[in-house]
Amino acid sequence: MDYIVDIKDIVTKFGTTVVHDKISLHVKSGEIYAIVGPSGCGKSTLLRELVALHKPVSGSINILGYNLLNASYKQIQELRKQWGFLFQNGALFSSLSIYDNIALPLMEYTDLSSKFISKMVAYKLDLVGLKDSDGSLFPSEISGGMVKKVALARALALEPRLLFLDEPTSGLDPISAREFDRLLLRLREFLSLSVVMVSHDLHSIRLTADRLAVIDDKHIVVQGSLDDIVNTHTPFINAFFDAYKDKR
Amino acid sequence: MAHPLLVSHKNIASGKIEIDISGNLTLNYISSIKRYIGELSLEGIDTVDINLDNIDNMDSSGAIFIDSISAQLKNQKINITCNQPEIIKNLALIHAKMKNINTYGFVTDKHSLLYNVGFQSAKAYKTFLSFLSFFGELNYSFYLLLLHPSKIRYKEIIFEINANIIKAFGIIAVTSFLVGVVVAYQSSIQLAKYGANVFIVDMLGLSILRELGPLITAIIIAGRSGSFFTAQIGAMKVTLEIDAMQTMGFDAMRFLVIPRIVALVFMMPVLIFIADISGLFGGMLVAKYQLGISASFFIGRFLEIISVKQFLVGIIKGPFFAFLIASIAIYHGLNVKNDTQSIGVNTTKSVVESIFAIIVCDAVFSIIFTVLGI
Ligand SMILES: Nc1ncnc2c1ncn2[C@@H]1O[C@H](COP(=O)(O)OP(=O)(O)OP(=O)(O)O)[C@@H](O)[C@H]1O
Ligand SMILES: [Mg+2]
Repeated sequence: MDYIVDIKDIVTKFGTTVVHDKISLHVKSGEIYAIVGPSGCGKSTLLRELVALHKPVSGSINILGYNLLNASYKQIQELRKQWGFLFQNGALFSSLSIYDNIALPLMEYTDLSSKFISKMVAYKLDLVGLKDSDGSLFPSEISGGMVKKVALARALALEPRLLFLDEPTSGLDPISAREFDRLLLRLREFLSLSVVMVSHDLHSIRLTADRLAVIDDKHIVVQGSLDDIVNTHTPFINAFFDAYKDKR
Repeated sequence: MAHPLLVSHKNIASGKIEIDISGNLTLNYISSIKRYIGELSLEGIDTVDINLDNIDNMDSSGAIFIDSISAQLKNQKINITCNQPEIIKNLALIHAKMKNINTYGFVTDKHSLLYNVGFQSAKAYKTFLSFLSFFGELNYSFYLLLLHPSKIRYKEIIFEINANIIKAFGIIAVTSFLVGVVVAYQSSIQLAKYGANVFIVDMLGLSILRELGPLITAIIIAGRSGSFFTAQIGAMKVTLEIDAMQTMGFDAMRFLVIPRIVALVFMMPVLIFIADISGLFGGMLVAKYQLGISASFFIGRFLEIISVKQFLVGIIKGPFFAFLIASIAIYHGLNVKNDTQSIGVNTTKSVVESIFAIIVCDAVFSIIFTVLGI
């Protein structure tokens, strides 16, 4: 069993509203895995469940070899250092500078010297395409696209093995979005990352995703490579992947 | 796969050692390898070979560490060898990147005392100017609204009256009642010593109507509505709601600011009235049980001694206090920057400054009333 993420029969409810009804999927190590689906189908919620921000009603979640739903606090803390999460809207710490946002996990979790940390932060900033002089700005002083980049740099701070991205390219201009895709591929190669991402960006999915799952109407409609997906026909898939079919 | 890091070293020739690193050269192990190298005795050694042949895993922090190892081994010549092309490629990549990165941008500047004093003074001056400009804008909007009364947001005003005035009735009544009880109790002991029991009526009447009623009301409202306004409007700034309103042509002054100010200014006298009544009631209870002054005697003497003027002196302060509280609170709310920290900072400022302003204003009133002989 070398799945880095393995979820089985997840059921999620808010009050009486069922959001997921027995969802199962698995992500292999080193894979970029995309989750797509119409707005409100519960993609963000699924990601939140994968990082223990929300507990499903039933089912099992296996991440990096831990059984997440039965894990002790200590095990979850351990896991938290091994994954990175990029929130849909960045969720940067607004009272900290960009530099401190990225340095914070390093200062908390390692005993490295501040000089070495500043080197690592500079590298991470460079990696996501920001200047080191941006480090002294505050989240309220940067653009939406920069927020995404800083949030990615922060998610990468602890050299995670697994990265969760919630709509990483939404709100970016097409050029930055493609840069982001290439960055993701480079990161995977260099840092041997596995990535689970929610995306509405067809370009990005085509360029980066190895496999994907389509969630619609509480279920996983289909899971597999892009070609497998476009050969399945549901109204959502037809509408969403039309552009892809045209281009082939 | 999960080999921890292993470091060892051996002398391979005179003046030359080899450091052998194997296992995981990753974030968690960097500080221990730094320590290991720090503890090596490097006397008389001029060349260090670093052998990375047996590395299983290297992340970017590991690569940065190897790249910057010369900072730790300043006096030695360093040769890095590795038989894994993958790792050599990554090291070269990092090296090319790190050359162009300087980390000086992160150093925060330190300034002299004089600079700081000047900076803070200029900041205080600017704050004052911006408050004046807010005040001017507010008056101008009032003026415009008076020209077009149909544009006044009556619904919002009613809503604010309910939230800030009617819902505050209880706490104001209870607090003033207790203050009335305490003041009466403390003074009754002294008055009884001189046999001046009846003067409790004069004392309570004057102090509660003129000073205590208005002040207690204003301080509670500053804590209650002042902090509410600042935090609420501040959060609206952070979530860009105010910007969104502006793009839709909803003027913040008309929609947010004026309804709140109007609600407080017009209804503050009502709150003061409630404070007066409950304070006097508390005092009356103490007078009865402590000094044996019956309620009918209390009221009779009260009507005889205390003129309506005393009541009006207290009431007239209400709108002024209310205006100070609301405008200071809203000003600070609108001053919130785009981050959560500044909501807290501004809420604190708002409450502290409005209580201070109330007390200054009260002092000014005392002087004016004394000069006028009221
Ligand atoms: N805290 C909550 N309480 C109640 N319902 C919620 C809560 N969070 C999410 N939901 C509901 O769960 C459903 C899934 O929400 P989710 O945010 O996961 O959607 P999504 O697939 O990420 O959509 P989008 O593409 O718009 O981001 C929605 O119908 C939403 O109303
Ligand atoms: Mg979402």
